[in-house]
Amino acid sequence: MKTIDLAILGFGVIGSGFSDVLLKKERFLEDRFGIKLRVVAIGEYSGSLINPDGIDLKSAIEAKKNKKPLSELPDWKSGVDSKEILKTTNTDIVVEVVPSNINTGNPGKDLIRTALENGAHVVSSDKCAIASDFPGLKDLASKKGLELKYEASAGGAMPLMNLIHDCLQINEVESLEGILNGTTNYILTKMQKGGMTLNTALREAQELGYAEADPTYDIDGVDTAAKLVILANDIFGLKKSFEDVDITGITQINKDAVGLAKTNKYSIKLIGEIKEGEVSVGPKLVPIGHPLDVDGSLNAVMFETDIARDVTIIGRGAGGLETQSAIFSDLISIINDSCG
Amino acid sequence: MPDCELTIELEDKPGELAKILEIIAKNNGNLFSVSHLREKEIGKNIPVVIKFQSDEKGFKAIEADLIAQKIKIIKKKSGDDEETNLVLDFIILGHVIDTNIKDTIYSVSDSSTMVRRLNIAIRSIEDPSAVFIQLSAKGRDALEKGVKKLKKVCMEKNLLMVPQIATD
Repeated sequence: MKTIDLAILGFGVIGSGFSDVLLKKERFLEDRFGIKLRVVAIGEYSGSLINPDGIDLKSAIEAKKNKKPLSELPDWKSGVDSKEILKTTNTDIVVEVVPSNINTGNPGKDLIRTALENGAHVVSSDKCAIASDFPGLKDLASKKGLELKYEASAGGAMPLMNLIHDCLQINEVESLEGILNGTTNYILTKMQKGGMTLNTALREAQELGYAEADPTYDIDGVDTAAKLVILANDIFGLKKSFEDVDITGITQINKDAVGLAKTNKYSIKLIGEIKEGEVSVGPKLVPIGHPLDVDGSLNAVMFETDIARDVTIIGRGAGGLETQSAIFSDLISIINDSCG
Repeated sequence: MPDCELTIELEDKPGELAKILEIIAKNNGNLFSVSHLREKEIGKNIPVVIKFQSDEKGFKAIEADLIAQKIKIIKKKSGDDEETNLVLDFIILGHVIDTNIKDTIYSVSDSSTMVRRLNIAIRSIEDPSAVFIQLSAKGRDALEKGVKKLKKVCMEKNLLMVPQIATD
């Protein structure tokens, strides 16, 4: 049995969801992969839970569910923030799941750098951190002989990058297009099939927890753009940053446009595209019945490749539970490849 | 007689195909096969590929009869001669009428590109409108040129262009 020490940075929906799945799948991971994952630190803004023998995850999850502060738990170290953990705690892999700013990439970018500089592999779901300095972070990981994996950062539960690298190795990917934001897809579906206005559909999305209180990142296309930057760098080897993406959101899409599209057998979808070296996001007409014509909060991505031709993957692009599929996939991959 | 192929758009209703086959038979065409490309539906129409043998005179007569029947020919091939008409759909949003829709249509049209269909949704004179436009062009280069022109006009007139995703 291989014991791997982990630090989780951020204990929001994704961080606590990770812990939840870890507890549920503890036996499965031992039986199937021969690994025991031990969380030795959970970093938050005001302090951290630290225990080299393993944190009591059940108590941490309970506290989170009951909206009680983690500071009430015995392993709490006040004032020791995430960065401090990385410098003082011995961890094999850091799971970085904090929300970062799209312009600066922080705090996630700094945390990933610090983790790598201190000798830990990193798994991240933080699209803003990865997109803000893709080449810099990858270079650092490479120089340190460590792995940095980020499948969950672009596509949630959909295995996009791992699919290309692990299953479609012989293929050259010619283009990618698809829906990478569940909130806008939910809104556009409600406009098309429920006859709602954009604002009403947005309010409903917020009530159901699909959209943030400030949904501008979603409806302005910023969220999709950040994911495209990661995919452009990782899959296509393009040196693209956020500023290189041509972005149009869905704020101008009204009921008339949706109705006109429907009359002509189209759905309007917010489509991200990487083609011929260009990266763009904007509303497009998708023929009804096309593989990218998926409803509700679903995401869908179509790759055009030279050998396999068109490959489409449909799935959940976000969610506290669903995203763990990609995080654990990266984690297990690192353990198998680099934690001998 | 050379092998011929026509890809046409047919409305998905009983009797439409029979009319076409009658035209081919009347002009001494020797029918090989008929394929409905249902996965490539264009609005209410379905592309249909018809393969047959015909001499040059018969092929021209078939083409003329189809045009007279208002049947849209997407692609035609007679022996080694091939010509393709490509179409791409758009919705244009904003003050499309106020910014001179006639000028918008004319600016993308030339001998090889034209606006084939147009549907307008408008609530009032003050409100922005939504316009469905179908561009038709003779070949890929002409279509790309037409799309570039439409994009330029939309930028100049502050209109939002929502294009169809590439389906081929």
